[in-house]
Amino acid sequence: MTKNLKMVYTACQGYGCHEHCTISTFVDENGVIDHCERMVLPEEIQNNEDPYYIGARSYICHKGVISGKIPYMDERLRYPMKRVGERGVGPEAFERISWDEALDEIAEKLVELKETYGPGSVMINDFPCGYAGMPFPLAYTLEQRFKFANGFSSLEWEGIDISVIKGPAMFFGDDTKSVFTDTMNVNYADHVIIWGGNAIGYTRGSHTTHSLIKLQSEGVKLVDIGILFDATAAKCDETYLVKPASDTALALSMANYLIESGRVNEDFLLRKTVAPFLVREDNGKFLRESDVVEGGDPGNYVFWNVGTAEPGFMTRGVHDMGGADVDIVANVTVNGIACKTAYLLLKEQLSTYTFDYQEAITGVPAAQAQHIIEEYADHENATIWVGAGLRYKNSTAAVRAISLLAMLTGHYENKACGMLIEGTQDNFPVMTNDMPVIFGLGPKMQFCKLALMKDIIDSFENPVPGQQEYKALINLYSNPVHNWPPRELWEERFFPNMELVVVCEIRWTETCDFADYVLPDLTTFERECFFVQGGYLIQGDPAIEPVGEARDLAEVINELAARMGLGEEFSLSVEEWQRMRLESSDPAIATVEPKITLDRLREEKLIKLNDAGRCYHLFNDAPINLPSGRLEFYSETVAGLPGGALAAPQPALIDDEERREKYPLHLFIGRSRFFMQGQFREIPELRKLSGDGPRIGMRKEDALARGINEGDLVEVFNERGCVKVPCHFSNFIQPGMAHLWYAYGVQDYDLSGPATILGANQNIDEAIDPVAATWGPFWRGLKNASGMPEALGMSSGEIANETIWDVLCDIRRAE
Amino acid sequence: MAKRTILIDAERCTGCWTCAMVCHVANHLEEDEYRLHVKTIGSGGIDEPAGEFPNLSMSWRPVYTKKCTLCADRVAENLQPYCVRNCPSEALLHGDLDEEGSAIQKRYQELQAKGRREVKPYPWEDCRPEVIYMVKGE
Repeated sequence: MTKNLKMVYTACQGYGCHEHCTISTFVDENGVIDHCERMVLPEEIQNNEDPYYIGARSYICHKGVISGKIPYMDERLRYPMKRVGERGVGPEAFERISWDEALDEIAEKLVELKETYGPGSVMINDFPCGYAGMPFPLAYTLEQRFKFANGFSSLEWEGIDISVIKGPAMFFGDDTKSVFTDTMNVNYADHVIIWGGNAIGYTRGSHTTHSLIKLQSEGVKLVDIGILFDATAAKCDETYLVKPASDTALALSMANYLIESGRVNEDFLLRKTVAPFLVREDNGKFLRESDVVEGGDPGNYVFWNVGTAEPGFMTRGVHDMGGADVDIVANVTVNGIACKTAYLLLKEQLSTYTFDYQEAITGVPAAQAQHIIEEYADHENATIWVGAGLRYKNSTAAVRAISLLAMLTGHYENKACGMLIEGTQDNFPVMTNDMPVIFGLGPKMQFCKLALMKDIIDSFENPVPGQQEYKALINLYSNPVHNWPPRELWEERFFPNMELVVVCEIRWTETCDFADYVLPDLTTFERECFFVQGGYLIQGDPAIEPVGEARDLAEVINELAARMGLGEEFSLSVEEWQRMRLESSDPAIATVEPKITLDRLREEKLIKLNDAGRCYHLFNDAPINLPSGRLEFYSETVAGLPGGALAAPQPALIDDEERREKYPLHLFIGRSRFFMQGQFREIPELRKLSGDGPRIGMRKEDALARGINEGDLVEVFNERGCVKVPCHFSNFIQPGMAHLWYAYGVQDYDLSGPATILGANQNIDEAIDPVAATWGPFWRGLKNASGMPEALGMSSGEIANETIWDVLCDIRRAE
Repeated sequence: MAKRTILIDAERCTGCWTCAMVCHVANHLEEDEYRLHVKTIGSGGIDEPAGEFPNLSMSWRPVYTKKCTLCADRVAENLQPYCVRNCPSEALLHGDLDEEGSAIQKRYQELQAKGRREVKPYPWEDCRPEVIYMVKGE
């Protein structure tokens, strides 16, 4: 190098896109970040005889290369701060204090609240998706130990893109497969549909973009189904713009066509799904062996053997039908009980969803819809990349409907998984030795509960004796006031009832405005952390010294626990905890020779893990955790609930037509491709590429019809609020749509609240949609059956914890 | 003397600006200063497509200004230019187009075999002359 730069590996600060890149950070002789580049894995080095070798295996995007500015930004938190003024005002209401003062005061208050109101009165919000290196940072593991050592509540994570996880989970039985989807499987595809996302050059701007573009260059067709003419739409070979929130109708009509045209994979349906099982007409439950023969196994399912004209019985998890001649569309009465197969019920329900029907809803011509699904069905390794962009009411139903396509074709078993979910881990699962850290508390282990937002609000507004009172929030990684709309819920109904709010962050966020204490955390560039990418365990060394007095959150948790009388349970140092975590029994780590230790990792920086470099197959690499051990497109758990037992609910439009008359525009609160995460929004270069401030995008004809011209100040309004911004004519949206970039914060709106005041969620009683409410009991039942503590990780209760970004609105000229 | 060329496979460019941004950061340029930028071939603005709904189109071209040094100092040390090194879609190559068997020559020939057309930067864009775009169509 022409400059004398030191290089360290870093988990990209912008982890929330879920590409989970490792980057190379270059540091100058003064200990300042010079720049960031793509990391180079050893395979590439070994093959790099040609200096222009481009067979790269790890990539970076425009956010990663500029992320080295984040530690030095003006909004960076440098010191512990305590609020001395009004809540909600901003940094001017805070004053700097020492770490000792902050931790002493917080610990004292937490102990007081525990004793007065019970440990459940303190909530921890550990929604971690944007935290660099997740799930490997020690802080994430240690704060869970902290939670269980104290018996604190875990604040329900609101899902901002939950539909891609919950929809398939209805089929698979847990969220693990959705979360661990390894999107690198797309490299095996011979046909790709990108549905509901803008993966190329944007939300998946690194290795995924590379894979998709490489596939295309090799002749693989890319098809886009979305609502915007974005980068993905522009790059794909075929693009179909559907009307907003109409995806379910398209998917259901395609599923119907697969059945009607004989394109279903019956062998797969018989082996791997509940298709052949009989469902009782009287109660919607699966017929069991015990319903048919006295002393029969109540766990066994029943199918109809057309060869013997008798019922046959199937044990959970068995996939071989034993050569039986199964009637997959049986409509029979068994032991006096009228039954149909689950497949016949699906077939009947889908029969009304024709291509003409969907055309009226989606705007996609019938012939085009047929063409899309025929090509998908007819390719051996076709896959649907389901993006996280479906963020409207009942979008879980939409993804459940899309899942039908992978199931009916049997594509779930193909090399490209048939369907890939823009999930969160995107790697072969590798487990460090975290369970003893989290739960190794002996008698001090306390049961923690999930604090549902509806119960929290209820406890404030309709208190009854004996109800859990909620008094404190410790917010660790996220910015819920901005990211989990509506803002009003937090500002007017949640925070006024809090006696203590502690926010740990790297920068000043909207949530900090409502804190009592703000504690400065380290950026990815300042902390030591190990993580996994590309089959390697990687040592992330600190690139720079901590800015100001920022400290590793893991260290802070250790010290806070000690001040609360838990010194014995938190007696290990950060380094000792990390050594313990590497004592993993996961074969990917445990079978590596020589043994992986922290010392070896610090020395070598990259250690190849056993078997972890391969793709994790969504369908084949893990069992199905449902009562049948098969894909359950028919769920008896939710039979009778509004969402329905079948994965073929009514197409879920954004809202009722009555509201659409009042608010005729579909507002898409999307993410700018240049700063899809809030932590990038103050980087001037990225702001300028995104218009340098919020403005409402409208189609010219929609604007002119309202007497609005380019640059006019307008009011964007619905029943939740009004946002004042300039108008910008945009032609990448459809007629009847409007859009705002989500990431611009409250400080960017001079005349009103930010875009997210218009958003909605479904996690409080008055907002819940009955169809969405179907998922709650299903989810909770699975969690309870698995024995997983409900406070560990994402979960939901009786209602959907889904945040809705797409909402209806209208727009008028501002006075 | 090697004939240095930046070969741009325009069909691979996704308009992400990683090339422009890594150059901007690594060369410590002023906030508004770019040695290369990414032009949207659309209706004027960044990521604004041309045409009328639903018949829209959009593509991108990295534009190398005369301020670009082709990372002469890095190349002298057998390193790729920042833009080439970090392009996530491998749309960019740098090298000697005349060097037999070089990666850039192979890619050039591959693209020619696919019927891609060679296009030079427009004169009014005042670009580095070493840049070649390979595009689809007549």
